[in-house]
Amino acid sequence: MASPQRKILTPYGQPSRSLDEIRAAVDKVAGQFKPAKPGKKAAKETPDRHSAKKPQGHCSPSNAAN
Amino acid sequence: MPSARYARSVFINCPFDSKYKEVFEAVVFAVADCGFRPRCAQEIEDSSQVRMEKIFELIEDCKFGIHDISRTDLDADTQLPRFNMPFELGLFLGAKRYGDGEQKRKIGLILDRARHRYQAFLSDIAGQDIQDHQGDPRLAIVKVRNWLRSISGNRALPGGKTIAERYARFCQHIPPLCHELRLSPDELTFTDYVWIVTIWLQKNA
Repeated sequence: MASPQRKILTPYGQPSRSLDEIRAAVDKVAGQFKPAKPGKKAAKETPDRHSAKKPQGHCSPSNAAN
Repeated sequence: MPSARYARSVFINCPFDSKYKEVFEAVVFAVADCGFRPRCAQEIEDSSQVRMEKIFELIEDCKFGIHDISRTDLDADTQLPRFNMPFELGLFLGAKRYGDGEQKRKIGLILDRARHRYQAFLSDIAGQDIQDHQGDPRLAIVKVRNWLRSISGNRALPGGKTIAERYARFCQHIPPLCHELRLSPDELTFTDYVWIVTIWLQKNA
């Protein structure tokens, strides 16, 4: 959990998915990345976005420049 | 007394092109992880406001500003530079200089690829806090964290290396998160991205 002296603030604006949906997705994905127990085969990891394949921009075409 | 909204908001004035994406997202993540609220002109895409009015309002709403002036290259198609970042930096400095009350207490961080490069194209800003990130998201995180630590006096902030490690972990989570949310990573809006960062930090940091 975040330190009490460093509260993570909620942003402005409405996301395109509900907050419950985002929370559920964050929990589910966090579960996928938990380290495997000793003796068990490690789960296949999703590739790091910063690895060999160059990530694509998050910006939609209308947001593509400033 | 400044409103809590003003005192914790950071206006991020950066390029939005795909070449800068990694640094931009790292800066947004660092601001959120330090307990501040990242704001930027991309919010405008989600509203019906006139762009200039929204930028005025954003700058007025934010005590802090991070201004990246590294994008001096010519656009491949137009062979012209983008002037929005220096323009919005000028608006921020103008609000600080001519504004009332809390506006005068605005604090800005100027980022560039190299520390003294600005002297060749924007020498009027000499004397401001200018830091270099060398195009490296990890270094950008460290610079932003150190600046926020210095201006907030908050000793509870995590170190830059810790935030950078958290950011690397978050980046691994983004593709499956987008899959779960039926969103394409390339099409995430700023608002979606900041909400995902926020909820991820609340649960993972």
